[in-house]
Amino acid sequence: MSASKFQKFMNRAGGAKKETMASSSESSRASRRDNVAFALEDVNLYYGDFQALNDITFDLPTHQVTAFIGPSGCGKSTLLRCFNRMNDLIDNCRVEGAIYRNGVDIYGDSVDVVDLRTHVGMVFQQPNPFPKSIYDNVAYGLVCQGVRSKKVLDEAVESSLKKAALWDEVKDHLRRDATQLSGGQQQRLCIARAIALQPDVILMDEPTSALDPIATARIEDLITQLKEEYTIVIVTHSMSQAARISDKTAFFLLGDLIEFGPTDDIFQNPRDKRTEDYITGKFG
Amino acid sequence: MTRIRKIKDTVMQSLTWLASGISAWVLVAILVFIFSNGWKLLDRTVLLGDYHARNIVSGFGDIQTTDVVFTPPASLGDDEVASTRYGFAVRDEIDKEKNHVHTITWVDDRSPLRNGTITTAGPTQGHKAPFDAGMNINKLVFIDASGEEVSVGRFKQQTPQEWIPLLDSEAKQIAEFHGKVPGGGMRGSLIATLMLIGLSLFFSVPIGIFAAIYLYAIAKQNRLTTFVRSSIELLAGVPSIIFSMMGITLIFPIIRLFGLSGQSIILGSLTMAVLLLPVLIRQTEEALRSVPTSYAQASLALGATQTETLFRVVLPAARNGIFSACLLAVSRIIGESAALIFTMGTAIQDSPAVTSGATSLAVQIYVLMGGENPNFELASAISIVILILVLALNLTVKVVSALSDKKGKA
Repeated sequence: MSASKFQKFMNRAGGAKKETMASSSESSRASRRDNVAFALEDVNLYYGDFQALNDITFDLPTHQVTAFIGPSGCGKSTLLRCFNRMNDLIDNCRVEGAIYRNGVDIYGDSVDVVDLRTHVGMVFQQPNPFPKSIYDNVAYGLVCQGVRSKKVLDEAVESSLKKAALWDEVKDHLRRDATQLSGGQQQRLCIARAIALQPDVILMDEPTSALDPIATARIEDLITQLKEEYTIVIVTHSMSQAARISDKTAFFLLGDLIEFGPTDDIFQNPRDKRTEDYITGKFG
Repeated sequence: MTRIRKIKDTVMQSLTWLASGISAWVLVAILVFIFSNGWKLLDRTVLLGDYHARNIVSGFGDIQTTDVVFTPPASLGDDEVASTRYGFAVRDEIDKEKNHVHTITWVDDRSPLRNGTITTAGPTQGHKAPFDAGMNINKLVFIDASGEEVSVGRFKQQTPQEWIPLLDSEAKQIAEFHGKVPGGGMRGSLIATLMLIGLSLFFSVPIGIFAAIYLYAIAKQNRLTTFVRSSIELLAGVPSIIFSMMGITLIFPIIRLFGLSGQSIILGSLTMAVLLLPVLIRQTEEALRSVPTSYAQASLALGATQTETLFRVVLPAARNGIFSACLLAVSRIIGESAALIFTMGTAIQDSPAVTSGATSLAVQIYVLMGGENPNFELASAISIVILILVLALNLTVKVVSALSDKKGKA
């Protein structure tokens, strides 16, 4: 994490103070490294008796696109939802181990989940804009944060839509119902909605699987631009998409992290036989 | 296919036709019956008129007959007889209670008969007496040239053709007018029904929505909430006459603390609110459940709290369903009679007030049909109004849900 980013984070209201205190005591390992967005240590996740993730340990880099690949049910989406603790919503889901963000375990007692989610944005598989106007969709997160100033909201909406490459298409009808947009536009709106909160990380759960090839290409372009400012974690079923847009790739199988490394290495010189079999299409 | 199977098929099919035929026939028969009985009666005076007839006796003091000669409008029919000296016309007709009456059909604005004051003892004594088209004239007293009082009108078994010319030729001064503002209207019950709808929704909708939100989002699955849930289900099956009894035994002591006594629209609407709650809660919860969970997920992922998610995203997205639930509640209120009989009473009011008893349209039907001389025609006319209102509400619900379906698919 860059110094300015860290500064911005520290200046945020709520949670900032206790996280600094925690960072000195809980883990010195991760806090020293400022190019790590999430440091995972022995993460195990259970749905009731079923273990969905086994001992996942790796460091997720900042300002890069990290792709999670693997066959259905391998745990890649489950792990993605650990980063903003969306798994909390599932009854009898239990997480063991630690995920450090800025040196603080996000599953620790002192962490405010609501605050965490303003720093770690998420884009879902199905575009899910609220049945509200385009403007209200983008402003939603900020309004929930208590921002009331129309000027601040206007600026945030405009800059977020610009960053999400949607501004030119919608600037003249911001009051139109967001559900009237095309699928690709809706997904870019969802990205803009997440960006509006100025998060550090954007999680994307198969963001293009419901879109046509042209809309997919636009989202992929957008992801490549966004990594300048944000850390992006993307779950994808498309091997070629992972190869095109990601810097790092993690391959999962049956809840295990099989291989993690630079995307080029994973696709060209996989160290593990199972990785090779999967990316060459022998199973999956 | 064997013969027997064919016969079985035919028999079963005919049974289904017969069953649906009977249901359709019954429905049509009810509609035909009600419309044929009530449609003729249903006019402005029935819809917006008073139920109770009002007898008017007005005196005229020293008002002298002027020399003005009034010209009746050309539109008067052959059966209407006009007085050119007093500027009004009457017709002999049969009223809603099947009596012969002389109904005023035209009054000139300058008619001296408009200047009477009510002479009957009571709170309205001395007020300006009405003399309008639609009223019945029973008796007119005038003073003739010899200074004697002469009474003319229907009470003397005279036809208008007999007494109007007499009035025009003999009268020097009008002394007294006996008339009647005819009743048989439903305005009071209509207003009471509207008040009842407003108050019932005011009491039940907020509670219903919050209870539904609790059950949908906040309640954990445990014995207590299961019990609450099944209580609500059970409450929906309680006959409404029992709610009415509950109204007077449980709710009445509570509102008495606020200084209200006796049956009142407030008591009726509180009872109605309790009766509506189960339906409202269930349908609101249904509407909340039909909101895609992806909305809530998106909201939570944007750092909204559960409460913010509920009130800013889920509830607005469910508003069509909740609106439909309210409309169905309204149509339930319009049709309900048993729950109101004890709580609002059965005294038909022409100017209802929320703190006193009154009848809704449905209860007015009950009262009209319950007396010694059931007034079938008026009851049917009210039924038409109820049916039209309920039909309109149901259509609106259909339109609203069709619209939200369309939106959901888009």
